[in-house]
Amino acid sequence: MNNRRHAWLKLIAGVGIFAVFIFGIAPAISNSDAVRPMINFIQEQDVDTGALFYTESPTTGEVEFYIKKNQTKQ
Amino acid sequence: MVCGSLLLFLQLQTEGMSIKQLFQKEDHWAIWLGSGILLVAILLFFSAPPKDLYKQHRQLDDQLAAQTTEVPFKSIAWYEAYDSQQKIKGSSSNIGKFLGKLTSKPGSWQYNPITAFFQSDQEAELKRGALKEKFEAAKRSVATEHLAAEELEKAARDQNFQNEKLNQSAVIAIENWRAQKKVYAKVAKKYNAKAYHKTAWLLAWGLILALLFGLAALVLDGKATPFFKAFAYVFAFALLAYLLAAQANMKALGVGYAAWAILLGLLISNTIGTPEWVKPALKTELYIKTGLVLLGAEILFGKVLSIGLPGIFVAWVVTPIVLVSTFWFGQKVLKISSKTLNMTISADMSVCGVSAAVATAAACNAKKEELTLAIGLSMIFTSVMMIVMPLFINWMGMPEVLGGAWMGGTIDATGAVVAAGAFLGDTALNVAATIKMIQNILIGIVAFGVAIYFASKVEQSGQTKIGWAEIWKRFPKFILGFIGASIFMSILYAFLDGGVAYSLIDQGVIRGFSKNVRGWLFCLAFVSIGLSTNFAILRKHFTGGKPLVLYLCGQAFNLGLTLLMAYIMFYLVFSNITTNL
Repeated sequence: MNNRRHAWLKLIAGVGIFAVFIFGIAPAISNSDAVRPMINFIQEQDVDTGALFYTESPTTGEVEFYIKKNQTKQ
Repeated sequence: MVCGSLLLFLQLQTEGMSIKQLFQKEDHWAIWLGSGILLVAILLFFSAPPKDLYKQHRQLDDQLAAQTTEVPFKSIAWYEAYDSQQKIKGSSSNIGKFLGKLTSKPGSWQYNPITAFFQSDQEAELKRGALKEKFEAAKRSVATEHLAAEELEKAARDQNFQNEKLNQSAVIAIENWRAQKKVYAKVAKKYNAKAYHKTAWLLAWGLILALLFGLAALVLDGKATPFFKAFAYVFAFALLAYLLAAQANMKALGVGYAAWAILLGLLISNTIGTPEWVKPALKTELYIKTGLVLLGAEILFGKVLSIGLPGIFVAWVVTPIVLVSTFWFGQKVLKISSKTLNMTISADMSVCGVSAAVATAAACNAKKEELTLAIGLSMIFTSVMMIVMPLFINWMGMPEVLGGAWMGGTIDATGAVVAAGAFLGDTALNVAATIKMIQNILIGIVAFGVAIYFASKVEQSGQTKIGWAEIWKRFPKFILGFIGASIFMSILYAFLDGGVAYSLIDQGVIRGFSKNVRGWLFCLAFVSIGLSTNFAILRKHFTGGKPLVLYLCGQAFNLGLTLLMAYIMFYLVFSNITTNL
């Protein structure tokens, strides 16, 4: 019974750590002088920094289209 | 997919298997499911293309060609035709919109996670109201810049484009108009907020995935009921991972769904434990391999040649050298005992991060803990490099082309490359994104090569020489689906008219559907990995910090070699191309 309660307490602590990271540590990092310009830029441009492969980022599609058309222009 | 099926048929012939046996392994199911999904997507997008697709592309191509002949620079009319052509997307057709909604993820949110699933008309109206002033100002600026560009282009035209000074003024004015239009497009996207309700779509999508993989479970395990119950649990965590990744702070720092899926799974399995009844749905291999068959469809070889010669050299010369050197360094210097861990980290760091780690780990049959470590290292360093590299490049005063090439070749994930490149400027973004795309395509060759290498060399260690039949037996068969999908889609892409291929394949089947499905499958796989991983075992793989040292040394080598190669290619060998970028 104690083990079970201990396991649940660990889970709650873990959830707490995630919450602190999302709402505490991450904003603190984002607001630091060195990082802020980059983060503001990302949020303003609405860049999905989590895109893993090129197809997940709409910007790569735009870049590819531009390069192809630019080549025909040149 | 046709190739995959043919190769499976080959297996039938060479191994004397019955057709029934082609449904008794996860690798085979990955090929069937992946091929089936792609086939359905192709049928749907090609049966209901955007209106007058061929005619529209032909007309716009003619307009672009006419402007190219008539005007010595990119005129306003050229850009207008360009914009119109870019908007012709399969994903914008009715079927495309439906499939997009069906496979969508939770939306962005800051403090209230409910807004990721639901937005009422009033809330949308409030958002529009808050942005109205900004939107109107951006709209006015575009109109002003457009007018100025029109006047200057007319002045240049009146001189038959013979006056270089007037031509140059027109080019600058047109560039200003384009820059303003870009700002306007971003504001307009946010301003056009609409009401949405994603819950029903997400539930429907969960049900479809459950049915697809439930069928596989029925054949593979002999029963589907336990799978359905368990799948609801795994899907709920995949949804939660997407939700956390969509939080504004996480999105900005690049902490994506892969990290959250693994972390959430690890949290459950290492605290209250993964319930026994959930285990039937922890089909990590099946989700990953099906996702990889879909990923194969995204690897279009024809694209490489069309998007930039210098980038090919930077990505395709440096990447294999770094991959092989890092693997060698891990084996000979660091003496990492697990070859699969060594290879997964080497590929992850040298090719393209998480997607390369997943493909390579599956190709060499790495343990799930090894994949977890590789993904963890990649995600941490991607976030750091995304922020540090553009700042360093700016501080050094490095040219945009060189900086873009450097970041494109070294930062692991595409999203981070795009963010870092765009931060430096449009030219840096174009170069960085191009190199990353070319590097992404390399993943197919790397996975195939690793599968062959491990089947023929590594797995025979300590044994007598093995023959081709044995290599074929050990070869991970899902790779056939992966490569088959890539070859099939590349051929289809090459045979279609350029504009049509762009609209129906690139912006239809792939970006409008299959990449979303693949994302969900990877997310389910990462949740499954987390739910079945024990911290103690994970820690064991990290002993002595060798994986970290391997990543750091490999990345340091990668940074140096990519910078050198980028300089040679963009400034010495193809300097004429660089001046036009």
